[in-house]
Amino acid sequence: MNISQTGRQGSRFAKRRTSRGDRAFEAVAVGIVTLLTLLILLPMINVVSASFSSASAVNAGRVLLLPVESTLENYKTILKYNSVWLGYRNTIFYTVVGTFINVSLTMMCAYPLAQKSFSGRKFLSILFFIPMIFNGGMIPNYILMRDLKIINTLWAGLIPGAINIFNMIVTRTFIQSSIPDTMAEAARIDGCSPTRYFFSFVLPLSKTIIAVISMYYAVSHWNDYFTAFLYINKRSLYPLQLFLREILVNSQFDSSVMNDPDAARQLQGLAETLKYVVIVVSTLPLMCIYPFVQKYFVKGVMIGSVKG
Amino acid sequence: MKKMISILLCLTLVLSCFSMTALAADEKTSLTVWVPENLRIEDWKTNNMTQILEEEGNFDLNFVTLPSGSDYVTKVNMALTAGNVEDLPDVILALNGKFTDSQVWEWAQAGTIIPLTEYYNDPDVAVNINAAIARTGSDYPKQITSPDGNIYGIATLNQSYGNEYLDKMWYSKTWLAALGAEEPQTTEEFYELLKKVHETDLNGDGKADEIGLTGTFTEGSLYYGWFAYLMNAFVYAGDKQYRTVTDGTVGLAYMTDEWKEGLKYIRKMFEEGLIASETLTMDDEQFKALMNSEEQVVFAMDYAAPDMLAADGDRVTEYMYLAPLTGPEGTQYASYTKSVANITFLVTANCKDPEAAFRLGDLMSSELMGITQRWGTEGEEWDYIANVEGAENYAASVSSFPISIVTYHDGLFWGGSELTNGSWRQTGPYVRQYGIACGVGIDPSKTEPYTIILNGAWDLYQQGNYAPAQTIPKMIYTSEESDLISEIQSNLRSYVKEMTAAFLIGNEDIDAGWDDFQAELENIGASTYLEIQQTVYDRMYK
Amino acid sequence: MKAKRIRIAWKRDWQLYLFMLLPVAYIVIFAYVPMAGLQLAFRKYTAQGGIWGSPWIGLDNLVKFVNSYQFERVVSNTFILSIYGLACMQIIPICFALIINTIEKPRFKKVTQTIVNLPHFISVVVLVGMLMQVFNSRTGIYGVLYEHFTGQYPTDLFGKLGAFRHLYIWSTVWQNFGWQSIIYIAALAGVDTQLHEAAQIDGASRAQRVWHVDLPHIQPTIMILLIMGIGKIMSVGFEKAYLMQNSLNLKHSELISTYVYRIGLSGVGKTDFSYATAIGLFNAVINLVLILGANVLSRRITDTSLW
Repeated sequence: MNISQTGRQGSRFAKRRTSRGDRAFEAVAVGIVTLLTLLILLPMINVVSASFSSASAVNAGRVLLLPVESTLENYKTILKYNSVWLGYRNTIFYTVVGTFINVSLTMMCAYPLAQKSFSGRKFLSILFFIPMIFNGGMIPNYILMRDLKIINTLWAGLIPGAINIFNMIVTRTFIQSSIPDTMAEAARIDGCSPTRYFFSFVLPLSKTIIAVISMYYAVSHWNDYFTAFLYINKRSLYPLQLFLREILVNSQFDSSVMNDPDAARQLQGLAETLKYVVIVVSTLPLMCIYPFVQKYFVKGVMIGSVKG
Repeated sequence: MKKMISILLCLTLVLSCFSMTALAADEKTSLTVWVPENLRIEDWKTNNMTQILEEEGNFDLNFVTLPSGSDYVTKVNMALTAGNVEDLPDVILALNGKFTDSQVWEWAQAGTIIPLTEYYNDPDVAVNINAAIARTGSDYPKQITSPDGNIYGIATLNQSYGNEYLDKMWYSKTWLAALGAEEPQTTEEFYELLKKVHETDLNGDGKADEIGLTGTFTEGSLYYGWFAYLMNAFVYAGDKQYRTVTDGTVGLAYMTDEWKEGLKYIRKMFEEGLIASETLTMDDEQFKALMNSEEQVVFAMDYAAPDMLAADGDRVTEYMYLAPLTGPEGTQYASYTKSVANITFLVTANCKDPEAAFRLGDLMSSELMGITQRWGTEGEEWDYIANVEGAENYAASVSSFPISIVTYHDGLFWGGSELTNGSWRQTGPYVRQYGIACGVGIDPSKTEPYTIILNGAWDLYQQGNYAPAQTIPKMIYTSEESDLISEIQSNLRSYVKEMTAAFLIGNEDIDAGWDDFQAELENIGASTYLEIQQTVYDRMYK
Repeated sequence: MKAKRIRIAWKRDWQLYLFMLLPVAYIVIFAYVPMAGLQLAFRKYTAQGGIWGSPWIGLDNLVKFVNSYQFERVVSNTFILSIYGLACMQIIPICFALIINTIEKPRFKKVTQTIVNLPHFISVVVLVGMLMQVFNSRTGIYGVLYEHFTGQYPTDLFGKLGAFRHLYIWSTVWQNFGWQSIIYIAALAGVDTQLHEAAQIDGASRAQRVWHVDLPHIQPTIMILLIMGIGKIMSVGFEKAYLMQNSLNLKHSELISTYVYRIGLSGVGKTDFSYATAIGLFNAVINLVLILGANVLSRRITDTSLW
């Protein structure tokens, strides 16, 4: 039992050496996490159940944990609009292509800024920092998109927000702290060009952060309503959120409709349940992807890769 | 001879070519129209209204649907203030009162929409609009005239008592009977009644959970009418900004002693638990849940109709309407909003044939189109009374009016989610005079009890004529005026509501805090506000 | 001498500059060009004038804002809500990440992580609706439990001034702690397990290992996120506060953003773009000062900096 033998045998060692204190610790940890998870899960079950309940039950606040007067009516209402499927198709396109563009640009930007010896590091960091604080506002952005003739084209869904500076800074921080300068120095001495260094070393070692920002960007594309609403007029280019919002608005009691009071009573109720259906319909696909991305956060994904 | 014939033949050929081109020259005017998306409309192009309009006016209409709701106005605003003129359509429509006068004025100044005044003044072009002025008895284009004297759009005017007397008090008739009480007519009687409700286990569940009166109070909620209803018995509080007009002088209700008395009255009811304290913080969802709860808990509430109750349940016919209360000084008013015209049709600077665009709006202002917008296809979904047989025993919805039209399957227009294709569902202008909505013929044998109750409510309020002598239907400000008061109006309203809530819940004492309250109003700018209101009122209504 | 240094630097870094080409082009075109619109803060925007042609009014917009009714109230409300939120949203996700990281059951972790991410996707309208439902004095879990134990209905929580901030912040935490913890969990994935084993051999307990190995490893991430959070202090969005606002809690719930929104809705005026831009600029300047300060502190204490 050579204690100095670490590495692969380490985990077996750890188990055998788990003290009572450690086991207690783990029990407490599991307890806390379980509690928090339940705290989240129960209201979410409520949301899903509400989406399967009748409008009058939701209105009367009778839905708790299980669907009341369960019905598929609400889902049928939303899914019968063909535009929803068009929306899904468009959103998938924007998300996949858009995220690819996002991650590429972000990595291209974060990598040089992470190199401490980069001559342009300070200036360029500040260049990217300023727009995080100062924003021209809705009108100047609109005018720019208009002048560049991006409005109403595919690019309107891909270009705005191509680089999220927050994400970029987080990526840069990651690269900086996970890949030591000594490695870069050594590579340079060995004649490795910065480009090759990027593709051969940095990229493979950045799997974790790429997974993280891919997810951030993907979710942002998937949920985007405002940029699409502002810059796209052609219905064939509408993302999912635009259609979903339309369905919600159209089933709602718009106070301007108050001109006809007898009208209102038929409109009541539907909107309440539709809100929940919209959540489920737009979240479900994302939630299915998360487990696949999550494996990159597993401890030890970097083991054996960074050795001095 | 042969030569003559061939020349004649050629001539005929040429002539017929000319006449063909002449006929072809009688081409349809193509117009691009922006509309807010409406998922209940099956197809804008094949729609019944589109076909009627295209035929009447020789148009070829092309629709572009934009996201609806408040986003629609944001988009239109973007396009008209920051977009390219070449990207604009010929015509932009709106749903009901969605374009405010100040927005239209701004777009007019930007030059992206054009004035239509010359067409209004041409009786050969503004045919239907002039007829509309006559049948509504209102020179309504004046209500949409911009500060420079021009008219920049075509309006919707819906004269309907149902809208004008929108807020009414409703109470549970079973509970009233169970208490052996009569409908209250004064504030005192109302108070006594609510007290009895609070003390009796009317729903039989053994808990003291009966609520005398409730509603909502938050900005943007729907069920806030209860406050004005009660205050109206002291001083008229039905104006959105609590303005009053006495002999042409504009005042603010919350600066009067009568308001103070009203507050004390309402405060007493809060204190004794007759009005639920959550009324001041609930949102619409929670209110609806309360109204629909397993056991009935609410006795009285104020809204246009009890339509927040499940349409297929018993409770929806449980609630009866109540006339306005009379206060200790004999004051009695109902909240009243006079029907007013709002622009819902714009012609942009990109339109190549503005007169044709105007004619489209003019056609939409006809009585036929006005009825179609709401009820759909003539002959299928409604008919003029003259064309219907066997309708002698029908009654008009408001009893003092003659029957105008008879409707079939009216519930379908608003209810459910089926597609309809009879009309544009009130997108764009429509002008209906009182006689239409108040004269809808009802077959007594087929009418739902709920509809009968609703019509009874309209009847009572319209006959009772509870509106104050003068009100302010709308105000149109110049740019300078709106710069001065937009913040003041918003702050006044917010502060008054804040203090009202504090007084009613007991955080502030009404007598002790009154002077500070008035002083702060001055601080916010109440005097400046009143000055400007008076100026605009004199300009528009004197 | 300088020229030679530049030549050396270029020779070494030209590929890196090439990498930056597209990103810099993007940021200049799409972030800096519209920034010219910020000058609207000093002009009176008219549609005919556009950005460059509208008349110049200098600091008038700013003065108007500072003199506006209850300026101090909205600024302090925004500030306090933000700091409270920042504190909670920094600490709790970190704790959650550290705790869950110590658990060795992979399937348990996968399931729980997926679940705690879910609320992030609820719209703010639904969230506030749920909040009001749960804390309803009669029908909510809060009211029902209260009545069960005391026999009376509780007073309306939403009418209590003091409750607003707590309700606001903790519902935000509930909604987002899972999502916010992702970045920390990802960072913790890079911890060298050898360090853990070495510590174990030295007799460190689980808790000690978290404190001495895990925490320092993610310190740069924590600091950077904290600094960036400070840079957003004045920029609290209006939607949630607006939905939760009522006349009884207005003293705490009126923020800069809700104030601006309400004025735009007042029905009298058109939206005053230049006024809104001026207020945005005011917020941005304060954010800038704060973030610079935070950055300097961070560089001194932990050697982490934004540049």
